[in-house]
Amino acid sequence: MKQRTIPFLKYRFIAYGLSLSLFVIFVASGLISKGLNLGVDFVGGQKIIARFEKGVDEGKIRKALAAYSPMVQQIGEAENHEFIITTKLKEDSAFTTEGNIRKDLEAKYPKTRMDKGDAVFVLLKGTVDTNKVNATLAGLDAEARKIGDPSKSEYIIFKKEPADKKKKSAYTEDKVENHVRSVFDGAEILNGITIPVVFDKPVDEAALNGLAKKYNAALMKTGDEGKYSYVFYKLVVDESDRIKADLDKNFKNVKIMSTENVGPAVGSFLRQSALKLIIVSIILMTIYLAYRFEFRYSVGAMVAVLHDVILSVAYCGFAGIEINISVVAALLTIFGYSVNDTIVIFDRIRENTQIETKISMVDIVNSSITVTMSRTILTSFLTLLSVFALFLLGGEGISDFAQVLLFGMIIGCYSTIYIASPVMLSWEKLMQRIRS
Amino acid sequence: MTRGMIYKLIFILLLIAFAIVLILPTVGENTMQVSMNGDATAEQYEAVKKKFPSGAYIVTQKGAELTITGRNLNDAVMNDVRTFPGVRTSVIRKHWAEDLVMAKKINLGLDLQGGMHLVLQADFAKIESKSVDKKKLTEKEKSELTQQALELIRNRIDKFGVAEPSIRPRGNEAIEIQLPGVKDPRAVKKAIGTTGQVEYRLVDDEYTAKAGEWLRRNYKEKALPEEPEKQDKLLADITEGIQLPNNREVLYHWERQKDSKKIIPQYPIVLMREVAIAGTDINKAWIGNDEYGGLAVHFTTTAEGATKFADVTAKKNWGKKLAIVIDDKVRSAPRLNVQITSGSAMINGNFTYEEVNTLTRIIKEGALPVDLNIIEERTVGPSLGQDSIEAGVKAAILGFIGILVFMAMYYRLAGVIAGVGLVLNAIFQMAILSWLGFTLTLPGIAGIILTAGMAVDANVLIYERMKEELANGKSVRMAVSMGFDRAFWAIFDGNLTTLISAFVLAQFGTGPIKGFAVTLTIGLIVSMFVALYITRFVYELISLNKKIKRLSI
Repeated sequence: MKQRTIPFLKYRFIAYGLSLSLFVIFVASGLISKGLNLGVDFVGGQKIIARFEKGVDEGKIRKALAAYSPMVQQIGEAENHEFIITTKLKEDSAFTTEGNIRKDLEAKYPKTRMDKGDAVFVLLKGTVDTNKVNATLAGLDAEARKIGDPSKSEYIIFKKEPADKKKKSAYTEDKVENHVRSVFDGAEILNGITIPVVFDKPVDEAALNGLAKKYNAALMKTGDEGKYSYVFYKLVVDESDRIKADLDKNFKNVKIMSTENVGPAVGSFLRQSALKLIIVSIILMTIYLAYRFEFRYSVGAMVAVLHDVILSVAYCGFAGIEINISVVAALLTIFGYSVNDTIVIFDRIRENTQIETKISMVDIVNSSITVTMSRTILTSFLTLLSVFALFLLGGEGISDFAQVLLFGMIIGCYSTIYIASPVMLSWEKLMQRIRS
Repeated sequence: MTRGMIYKLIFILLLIAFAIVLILPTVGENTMQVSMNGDATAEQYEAVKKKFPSGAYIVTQKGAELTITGRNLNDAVMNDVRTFPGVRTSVIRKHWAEDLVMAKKINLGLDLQGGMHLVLQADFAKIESKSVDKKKLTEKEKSELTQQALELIRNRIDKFGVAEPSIRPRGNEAIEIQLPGVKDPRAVKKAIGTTGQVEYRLVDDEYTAKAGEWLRRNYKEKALPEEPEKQDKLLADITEGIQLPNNREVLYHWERQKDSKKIIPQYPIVLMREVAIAGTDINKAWIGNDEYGGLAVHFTTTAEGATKFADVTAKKNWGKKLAIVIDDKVRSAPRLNVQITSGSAMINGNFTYEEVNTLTRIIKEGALPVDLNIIEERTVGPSLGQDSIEAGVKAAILGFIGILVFMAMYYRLAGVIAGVGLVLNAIFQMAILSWLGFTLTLPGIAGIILTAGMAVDANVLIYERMKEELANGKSVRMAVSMGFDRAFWAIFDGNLTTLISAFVLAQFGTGPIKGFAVTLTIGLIVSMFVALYITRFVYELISLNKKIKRLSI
């Protein structure tokens, strides 16, 4: 070995300190600005990309859609006037309303009978009188009441007690739906939730109304005089349809480029699988490295990789990058790439430990890092070059992905040199101390 | 050159030629045939022609057929054109390379060509809460119900005329639908949500026999066609061939395959056009047994239905068959042999439990076997897709040029060789994508660009090793050989770990990311092949020259 060897290991504590302070800075500044920004992929919600006419800016869109408290962000070249409008699922979304109301009712009126909701919401074409709707419902033991926007024929149809008390009720959801479809041309069945409740004694209606209002639902009394049955109900409107309608109302010539609408189930499913994926990769790689090298190398590589991924996530929080599926893909790529880099050095260390038996491990590591240094820098530089091209030109769908990758690769290059090998050595020292 | 090396050279050249042919349908020009209706107006022709400006496309007209040649013709464009007024249908013609080597145009993800992506979640909780004993459904039952719902949805989407739809189960409880080029999600959502059409119509045995006879004489294929368009065409041919009177209609009798669980057309069957009993005439349906103990669907009719039923099953029709038609597919045609006036009857016919179950559900409410809720919906407009492709291609070109220039400056001739390898790498990657029918997404393009960076890594590792060996005073030949040998394990181990993450990513399953994992995987494997096999071969050729004392590296 004629080359000059750089004593990398001497600086390892400086490196540890640097990593730690970087992490602290990211987390602290991330926390100040609201923490990690999980995208609609993971929390559910809508994302609309739309092109507007000249003169529209983020503020105007935000104002027009104030009811949905959206995040609005301009993308692409300025002359395109393209914006991303994101609204995340809120806690009081339709998906959670039913459970919340039921919970509150149970807490307040423990002995109350709560039935399964089986009312039907319909939107009839044109103007249809309530009496007319009810006239067609004879024989189905159902009653219709007008709800919502007075200009529209929106009805809730619910179960009524049959006139002949001994007879079984003829009401079923399916029957009513089929009935409405066949009787009223162009009738639409709407989505909604209903919670029928029957009290055995008079209740404070104001309190019930308050409960309904708390969750943006409505309340109506259903049973006859002397009965205390009520129905809580809420129409569930597809928010993205409403946002689109509002955009059309407020701006001329809006062109919707793309829409995404993700339910909460998908969000939690994706969250779980993203986590699972990362754990599975760690396990698989540890096993592979332990098999190809030795366990101590695995430890070094995994610590370095975790270091990179954790710092990258922290960086997302710091830079306000929305964590979506592409960003998770970027994290996993950093994962693989960082190990790749580390392996090249480990490969050299292993080779040198077999050739040079007289030199200390520290020197072998130092010289191995030194000789692979030009390769590490060169490769990282070239890969960064292509990722940088992606970041610059890849367009909206890819720029966050590229940015995370860019950061992760730079960090990966550094951790390969300053984290992986030192940790490997420290682990060995620790093991020796435990053994002796 | 040894004989072995000549073979190697021929092999490599053939491989490159093959790969280039494979990517022709993707990067070359394609031709789309648009058939207009006979009564299409001049404006309607103009509207289609306007969609394909003459700078980028060549449009020729011959009668009611428009032929459009150009790049950027994909399924989404084809589906979009089909929605134009006056257009009967549109088909993208196969590229000559497709017939030659099974090449295929690379499937573009919806993010690149535009379209609609839906995930429907089956609502099993509703079934469970409605069942008598509140029994939980087993995973197998869930998967079967989902499969049946998927079939029904497929039928409805087929009717919608969307080409190349992708309808797949996601796990046991959800269905994933991808429809390229569909712009109006409402129409599709409605088609999925509407209840199925069930009707009961009398069978004409005489014409059914004629249709069968005609088919035997004129249709030589073993099985009936699978593509909806061809199926319709064949029905039209039969109708013409047997001169079917206007009050009759020929449809297929469909049966469920035991192995694939798909329903496929079995034989043509001629029905009266008049609907004997409509689905709404049926009141109730339930699963029971017939007199032989087989499974049967029992049902009762409404009062009006009972009259109709008594009429259809009257003595004059005994011996005839009554076809049960679901969404224009004949699924069962029991023979009538007794008049039913009571308004209650049953259908039997060697059914499996699932079939009886589906039939019951369909008869009962003409509905899907399980309610489906849309839990995820993504639509991408075609222009955004086009922008993404352009952005991706631009980024790729910039990335490639950057790497090439740098490598040429740093490594001189060796750098140029690596650059050629990089180009080959991209060609092979595309070729494999098109050959294996993978889908290219925007993150997939990112994967290609990223692997370009990683692919040079192999070259860098090898070259650095060679430099070291040369510095240690080895001969050129030795340096080349040792450079490749010693770098091998570092390259292999390094790529394998990245492959592990790519493999794990592929399990993630959602479209775009899967595209990334796929291009990353293919790119890594291909880059190893190019660096360790083709580049090495080039260096073997160079070091054949014994006089060479210096390597340009």
